[in-house]
Amino acid sequence: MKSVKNNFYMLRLIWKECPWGVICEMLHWLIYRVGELFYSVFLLRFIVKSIEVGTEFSKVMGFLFLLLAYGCVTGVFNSWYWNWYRRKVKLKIDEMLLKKMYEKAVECDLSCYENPEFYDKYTRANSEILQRSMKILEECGRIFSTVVSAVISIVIIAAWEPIVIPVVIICAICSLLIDKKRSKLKYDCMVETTPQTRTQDYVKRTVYLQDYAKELRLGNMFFPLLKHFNDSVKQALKITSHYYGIAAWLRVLRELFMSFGTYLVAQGIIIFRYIEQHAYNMSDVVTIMNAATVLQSNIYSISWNMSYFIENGLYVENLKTFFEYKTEITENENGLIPANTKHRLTLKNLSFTYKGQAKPALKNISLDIPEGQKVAFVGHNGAGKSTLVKLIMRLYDAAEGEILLDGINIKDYKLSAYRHSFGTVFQDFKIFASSIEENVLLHPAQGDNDEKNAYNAVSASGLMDKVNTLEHGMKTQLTREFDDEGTMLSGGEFQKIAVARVFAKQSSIAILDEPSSALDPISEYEMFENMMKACADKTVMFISHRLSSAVNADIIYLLENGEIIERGTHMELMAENGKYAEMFNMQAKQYKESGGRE
Amino acid sequence: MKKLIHIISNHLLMMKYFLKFAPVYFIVNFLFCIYVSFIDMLTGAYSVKYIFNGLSEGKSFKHLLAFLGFVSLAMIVRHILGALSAEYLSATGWVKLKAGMKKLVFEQARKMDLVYYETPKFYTDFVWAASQSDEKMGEMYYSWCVFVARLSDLIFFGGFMLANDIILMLFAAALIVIRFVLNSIIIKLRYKMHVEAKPHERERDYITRVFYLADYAKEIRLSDIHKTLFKRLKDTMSRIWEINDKAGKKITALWTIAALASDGFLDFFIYLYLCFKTLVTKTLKFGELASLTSAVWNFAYRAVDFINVLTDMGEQSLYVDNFREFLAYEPKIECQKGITTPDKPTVISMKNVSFKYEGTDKYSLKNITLNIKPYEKIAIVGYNGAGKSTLVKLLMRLYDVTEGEISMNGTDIREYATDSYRGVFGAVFQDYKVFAGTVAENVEMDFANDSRRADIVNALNQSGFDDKLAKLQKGIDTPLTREFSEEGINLSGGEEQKIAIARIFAKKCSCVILDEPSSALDPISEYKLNQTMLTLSEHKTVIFISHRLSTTCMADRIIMLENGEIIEEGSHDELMNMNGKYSEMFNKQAEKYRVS
Repeated sequence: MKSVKNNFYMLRLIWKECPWGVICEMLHWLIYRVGELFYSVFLLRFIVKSIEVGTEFSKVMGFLFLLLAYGCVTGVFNSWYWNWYRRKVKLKIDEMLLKKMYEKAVECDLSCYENPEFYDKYTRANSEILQRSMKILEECGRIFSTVVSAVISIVIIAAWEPIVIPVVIICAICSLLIDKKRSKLKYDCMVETTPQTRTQDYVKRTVYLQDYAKELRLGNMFFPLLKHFNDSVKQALKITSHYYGIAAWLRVLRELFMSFGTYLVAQGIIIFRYIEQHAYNMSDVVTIMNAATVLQSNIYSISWNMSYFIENGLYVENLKTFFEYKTEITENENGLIPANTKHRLTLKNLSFTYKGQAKPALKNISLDIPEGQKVAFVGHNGAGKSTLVKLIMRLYDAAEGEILLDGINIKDYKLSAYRHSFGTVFQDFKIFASSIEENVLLHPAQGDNDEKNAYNAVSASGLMDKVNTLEHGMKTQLTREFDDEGTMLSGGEFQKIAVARVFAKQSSIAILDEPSSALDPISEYEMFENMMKACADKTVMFISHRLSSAVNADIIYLLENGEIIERGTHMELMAENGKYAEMFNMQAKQYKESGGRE
Repeated sequence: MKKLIHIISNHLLMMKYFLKFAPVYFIVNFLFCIYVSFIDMLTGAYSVKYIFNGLSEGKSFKHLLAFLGFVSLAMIVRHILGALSAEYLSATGWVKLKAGMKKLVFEQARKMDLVYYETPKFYTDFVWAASQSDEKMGEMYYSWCVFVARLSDLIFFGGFMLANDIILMLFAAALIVIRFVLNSIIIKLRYKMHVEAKPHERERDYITRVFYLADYAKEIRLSDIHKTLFKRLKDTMSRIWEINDKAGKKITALWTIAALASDGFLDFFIYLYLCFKTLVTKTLKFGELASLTSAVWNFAYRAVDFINVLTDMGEQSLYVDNFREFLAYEPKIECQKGITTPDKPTVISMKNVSFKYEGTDKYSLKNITLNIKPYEKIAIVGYNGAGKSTLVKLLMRLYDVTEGEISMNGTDIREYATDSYRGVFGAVFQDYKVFAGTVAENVEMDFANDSRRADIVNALNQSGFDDKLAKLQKGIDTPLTREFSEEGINLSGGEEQKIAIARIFAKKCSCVILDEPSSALDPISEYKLNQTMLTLSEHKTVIFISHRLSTTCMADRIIMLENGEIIEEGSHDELMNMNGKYSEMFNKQAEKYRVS
């Protein structure tokens, strides 16, 4: 029942976008099914009748011309629809669904991505969106037309021989019930073999993926993996043969119902009535018998299409969950818009715990960042540095405490306008498949201003030398997504592009989350020099492992286990001789000892 | 003709594998296909004729009922065979077949030289293609079934028609010719359309991925890039439509001709002919008319199907060509036999070694000459892309040199058995991987024998994993990752690294290679790691690569690479005095630390 509801949900969406598509699809399948009925029932009936009553051949010819006209009209319609209009319908629906999905994806909370159950549904819903859209429409069309054709055949049969109907229907119901049980068995089998499938997929991945290739060649890890593989195959075989063994018997049972019920019994009754009871003419026998055959094939089709219908329903369920998901962090259309000046950022007693985790990621953080300050966050892996940045950017909302921008709670601002005040580079930044320029601006360049802006940003991040060696300069297409000849840069160079985004964005606050981790020493040095220059009048927050980069900051916060344990300038913290000093000395030791020139 | 034999032999090769892994399914299902087409003919044509003729000739009810009973019986046999084959044998057969193919290919892929994984062209053509073999096998098997089924259809339905009305065969032939000619043009048009639309579809798929992958989620929320992407999607979609529109119109025109010719006129003429024979000349009985109409259509459509499947099989044969080549591949490096290596560290030397990746013009390494003495600690430094990783890969013989020679203990390394030679090295890479398996297996990188358990625990202690190990209930038998079992644990990045490092300690190797293993570590962990590495490797040769020069100054000798060449070489003090690139790099890094 649920799957009917889900399929209708999808059908409604499609109807809204493209009602003619729905109509044509239904018509297409209807022509197919009704045509079948027409040829095997009505046409043959007409011919037999002609034999019986001795109709003139010219009349038969007339009827055949009608047939010709019908064949031509439907033929033209079908080829027009199937080869041309249907492609248009598909693209229209695709675009509508993709757009709907993207819009939702942009506004749904980041925390969704960390909820495995939701995320799993969401990725599955979205990765199949293009293959599914038309299939849903098609399945609906097939089922609709088959039902129509079945109803017509039932009416025809009932006109002469109502007794055939219960026989056919009982057999149909039995076989549908058995089918349901069979799909349940198959589904159970799939669920039960999931761990085995996963194991096999994993082993396959390790053998084929480049990431594992080196290590697999330097050791004998292949053999333990192969053992797992063999075990899982044995296990899968046992489970499969159990479930499918039962399913096979059920199938035999179903076919017995179908062939006995609709073939032997139905045809037997009709022949009996004709020969023994002379209940009707030969033309009637043809009509009923062929209608019964059509009905039988319709029942087969329905049970076959039903399994796809249900599968589509499950799919739509995922999509629906996603489309109807209520976001927690909303745009707040009527919110305030931060003034386009410099900002003061204040965090008050901020605490945050990730969903499903007991340990808070941040505890009671309070700090105040006046405009133009250069702030460094340092600490071990997992101390909560990146979480802090995500809270400030309002990718999550804090459970306790508040964040204020210029004294106003950030929840009171319009979300997009608020986020616009920041330029950010994350540790796991992404490069998009488009030109260098667009990757820096994150929108297409409109006019010279944008181009100049991008150019300056790239210069500041230290990538200009590289860009100058490229044939198309700033217009060079990055990544091999679309073009096997596309330019791939090294990790360090990509990182420079990400950093250039901050330079290019006219925001007053820059946040850099370990921007230098993939850079070699000289590039790192240059990047920091440039950053300080380019962001001289901006507020800068940066996170780094390497304490050397924190030295010049106006203030340093040392985080440990989600708490700020030390704060102050480099000099102050060194004088304090606490954790920071310990860490710094450890890193500096080698450099100091080995002298070199000053 | 030669081509045809080639295609057939390719298909026979795949059938051989199929027969090897799932013989019963293979045979039963083909028999089933043949039997089904017999039943189709029986119920769709012969029984129609028999019953209607019987009725009009006034055969007795008993007689007809007996016939129906016979047909039902034949159908029951079909269904039992079908349930056995399509349900039970197919499900279990595919499990066996897929596993068999996978294992066959795993064994071969394992022996492929690393170059094949790292050169994109080889990788997609060869390794990736091979990994699809079980799915391709599915496609091919489907084609074989269609081939067998349609061929038997042609025989059964054709036979039925020949027995009843030969002229009708002409109609069927006309239908086949029309369909075949137009279909082959349409297939070409469609193919062209797909090729044209492909780049745009790639773009569309890329945009879709950007929106649903978690990796991109942050950037999408924080910038306006989604607006750009929306616009690009719209453009892409309209370009896809243009291509579809253009091709769609041509296909529609052709299809219309086909539809009018076959569904319209030919249909008309077939009925006209049959009606004429029954009504006017009265040479045809009604039973024949009813059965022949369906027989003509079945025959013609199945014949077109048969021709199409031949085209498919021709295409599939191309895949088998690749697959054959893959199976015939003889590794040049992996699994080679040869002499065994000495136990103790010996001199490893590189003489005028140059290396370039296949298919590229640029040398990754140029004219490298380097002598590594036993127990020496060597640091390799340089910018990203200077050739540091390539150098150590050559040393471990993951690649063979393009020019020059690498020797160990005076013997060219190609003389040694690969397994034995690799045993000399213990390596931790920047992109080390932890496998799904127990802690012990991950350290041993093989089955963990009982006799080795103490050594493994020892190695884990040395790499600093002891604290975590104490917390694990099952100790070194704890499964890692959740791939194989729900009880598996996921380690943090730092912990995984410790496992990777423990591999070196557990391996009785004489030369340790560290390819930037500390890049993901925080300062304190990095410092500790370097200390342990050096103290524990006193009796080993150590070669390490690092960005962080604070680490490298502990080395006996530092090799500075730039653009694939050694530009500076010497101890830290020597290089600092030289005042060259190394000292420039070092000073830049050290500057900030010295301020305090």
